[in-house]
Amino acid sequence: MTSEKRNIYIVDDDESVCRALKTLLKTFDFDVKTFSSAKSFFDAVSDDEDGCLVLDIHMPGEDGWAIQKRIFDSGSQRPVIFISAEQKENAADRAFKVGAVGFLQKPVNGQTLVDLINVASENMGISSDK
Amino acid sequence: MKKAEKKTYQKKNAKTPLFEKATLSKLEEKVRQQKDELRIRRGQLQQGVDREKIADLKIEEQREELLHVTRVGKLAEFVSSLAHEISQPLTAILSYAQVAQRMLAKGAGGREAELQEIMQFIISDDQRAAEVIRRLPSLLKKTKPAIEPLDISDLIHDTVTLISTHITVRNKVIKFELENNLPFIQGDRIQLQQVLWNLISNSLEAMEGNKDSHEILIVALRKNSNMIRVEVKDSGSGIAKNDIKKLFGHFFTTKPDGLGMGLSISRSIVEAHGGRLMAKNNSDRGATFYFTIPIKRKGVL
Repeated sequence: MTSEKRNIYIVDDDESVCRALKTLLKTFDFDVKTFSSAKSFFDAVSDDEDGCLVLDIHMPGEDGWAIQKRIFDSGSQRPVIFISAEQKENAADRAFKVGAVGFLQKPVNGQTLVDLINVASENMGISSDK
Repeated sequence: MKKAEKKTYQKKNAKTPLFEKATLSKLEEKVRQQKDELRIRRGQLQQGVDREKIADLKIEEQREELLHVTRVGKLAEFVSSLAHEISQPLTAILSYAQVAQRMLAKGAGGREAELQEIMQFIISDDQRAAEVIRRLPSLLKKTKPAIEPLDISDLIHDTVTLISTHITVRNKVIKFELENNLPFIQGDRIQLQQVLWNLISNSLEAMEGNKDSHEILIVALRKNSNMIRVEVKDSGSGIAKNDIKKLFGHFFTTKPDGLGMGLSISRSIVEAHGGRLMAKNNSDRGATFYFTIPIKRKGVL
């Protein structure tokens, strides 16, 4: 596990955000794949492929909340981190309530995101050991 | 001649008896009194008119205030979408800057081309954010109505540009059927933009959650020699029968977080311009909101 690069999936409808976050996370030695919509993500990545999902909220079609719900309802253990410009005060609370690992306000600091991904992966490790 | 004059004089005197003289002076007195009274009344009337003018001004000011408040209220919704639009390039810029920082910390020898590319991305994302800010309308400005000749087609296009984030994020499209060479109308640009904005955002909301309805059609045509008619036609859920009459009243809303001011304000703006704003359900589905607006008359500023 440690020798292998860990997977990160980014779903954000904004191409330049995807590209920038991917470039950044690659410098932290992650294997990063980006998707511009829920559909392209679900089409390409099956539930049993592990990896943390970094998810934008405000998107056309299925938004971040809907994607998270789909993952949660399917029983998948995939950790989800919301990143959003959402300014509603309850967005972070809502994120935790629906079972996300965290909520980060855009613009996202790289180190904070990586720390959160690491926490999420550790939790993931524990739950998959069960 | 002299003789004759005298004669008449005498005649006149002779023909005015004393009691008539008395009546005459009484009459003169009465006229004087009435004149005075009239003067006082006129003064009072003038005061009344002045008071009314002041009241009108106050109402006008309050209306301006209200418009400003709702404009800002509507803006609050828009701000969240603007925040999204600006934070996207900011997210990218921060990420790239941190990448560059990490590369330099590791010693970027031989990676200059990569760094160059990253810098270019930073610049273009910065330009993107700047463009969003440049597009920010003068909506926040609190201004008195400025009546000017306006090209309705330009006005429609400008408004749609302002609201385009709302439209694309909801996966909707706007189509236009704008008659060529429409004459200028006479109106306040910002207020009329607000009307269009309200109608379009209502349409978007009516189509929310309906995957089959994508399209809003905006029509502008010459209704007759005096009026232009503008229609905003959606393919949303339509208007419930019971709601049609209440639609334009204050505080009527079907939205959970709506203020119910948009349509009533819109109607008062249109009416202040000498037009009418109305709504109907379409024969197939959805609703059409339409308003008339007077054409600028020649020679009238």
